[in-house]
Amino acid sequence: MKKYLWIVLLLLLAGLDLLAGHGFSIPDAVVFWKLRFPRMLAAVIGGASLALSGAQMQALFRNPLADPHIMGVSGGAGLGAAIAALAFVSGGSWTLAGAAFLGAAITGAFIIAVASKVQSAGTLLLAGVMLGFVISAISSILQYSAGEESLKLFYSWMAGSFSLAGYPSLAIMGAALVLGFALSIAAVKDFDLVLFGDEFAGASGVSLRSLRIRVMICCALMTGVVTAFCGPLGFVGIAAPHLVRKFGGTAAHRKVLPWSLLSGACLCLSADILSHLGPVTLPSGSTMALVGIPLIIVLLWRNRL
Amino acid sequence: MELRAGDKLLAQNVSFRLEEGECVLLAGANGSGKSTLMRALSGANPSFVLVPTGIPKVRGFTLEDFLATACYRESNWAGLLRPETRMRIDEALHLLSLEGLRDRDLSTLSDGEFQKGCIALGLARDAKVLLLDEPTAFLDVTNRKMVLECLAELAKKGMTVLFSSHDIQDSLAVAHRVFAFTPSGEFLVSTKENREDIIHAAFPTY
Repeated sequence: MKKYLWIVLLLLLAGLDLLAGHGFSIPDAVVFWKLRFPRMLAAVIGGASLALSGAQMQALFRNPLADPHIMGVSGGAGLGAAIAALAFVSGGSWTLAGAAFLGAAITGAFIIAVASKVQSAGTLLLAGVMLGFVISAISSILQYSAGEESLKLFYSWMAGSFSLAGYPSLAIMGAALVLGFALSIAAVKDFDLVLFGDEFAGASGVSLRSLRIRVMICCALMTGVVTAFCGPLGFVGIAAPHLVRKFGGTAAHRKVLPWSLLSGACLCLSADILSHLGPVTLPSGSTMALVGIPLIIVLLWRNRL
Repeated sequence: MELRAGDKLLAQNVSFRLEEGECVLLAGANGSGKSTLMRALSGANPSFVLVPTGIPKVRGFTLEDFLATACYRESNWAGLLRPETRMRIDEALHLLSLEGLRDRDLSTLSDGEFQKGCIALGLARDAKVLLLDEPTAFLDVTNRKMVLECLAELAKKGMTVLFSSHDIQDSLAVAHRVFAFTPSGEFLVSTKENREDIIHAAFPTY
């Protein structure tokens, strides 16, 4: 793996993303600063945050299927958004984002409380998945009884898009990413050792409980903020770290974590470019799944990813 | 010493002396207290080092990476290993003739080679006594012999080794003495001469 490949790719895709909008076009200043530049930043920060969360969760649970959605945080954000859409339909996207963040924070706090009590990572994983089901049941009931207007607002958020975030929300997302990255980089050796088993990691000086709590705080924060402003974006968190491990040929987290950050940003930029090329703008979340998942399946097939 | 796992009394009057350069087999049925004893010993004294056994060969780490990562408690603020730790890793690799494998990915090593790598980790952690809980489990004959001979070699060079195993015959070929848990919860210590008797006491049907 060439060290700078991801960086070059990232810059290239970011440039393309700035040109994308009903085909490719050179934007005027207003379109550039009001629409395209924040959209590009949202894709970069959002993708990076989700990928970084995914890489940490996969290491912590030694489970290739673990990703931030599994602990119910994005489900919690969805519930918050559903409540907001139902109750304050006139509030607009900020109310929705605020409520989604609150929902993510509450579920995140619950999962962190569980993490500080349970002994095994498996139990924590199970608790997260179960919580996710409870939350989606509640939000289904809410949607079932919601009016047409509020449903439309809710579904446009659910589809996932990078166009909703303005500069203030980008600042919040950026701050969460910086904090999350700092926390995760401080624990690279711990993540490496956990791959060899909890008992071995414990004997090698890793405090598993403290690591679990730190990872949960870090992921809840990053996923919560991104989900609140961009909607629930699936699959980046799970795919980006796998791409890095496959093409980087390494499992050492001093490389996997920063590279996941870059590859996650690249995935989201690609999805955003694709969703803005057609005559109708498509939701990036759906484009991402439509294009990304077949790609991952092909990679799995050919290379035992 | 009395050995308990939770509320369950495993064995009373656990008492023994280990001589320097001695290789001792710890025998006993499953659940008789071997692992509990090993863990208790490793917790009691930092120079009693429990060698990891049965851990996965994670792809993406070279043998040297693995050893360096596992010794990270001894790194400085920048995450770099102290020179003396790095020296101990080199010495351990040399002593176990693993130098040729240091840049190999763990997933490409045989189970026996990786187990030797784990023993090297014990040495790199500056062990005075190496504790190994079933280092030969799931190994084929070749790899089993490789690991046991490696233990015998270390004992010859003055290291004290206490290991448990269910491969009694192969183990007796390298063990100087035997400690054993009997089914009735006694802890028996053999001399160099009566090793077989102790084994029979631990496994009446053997």
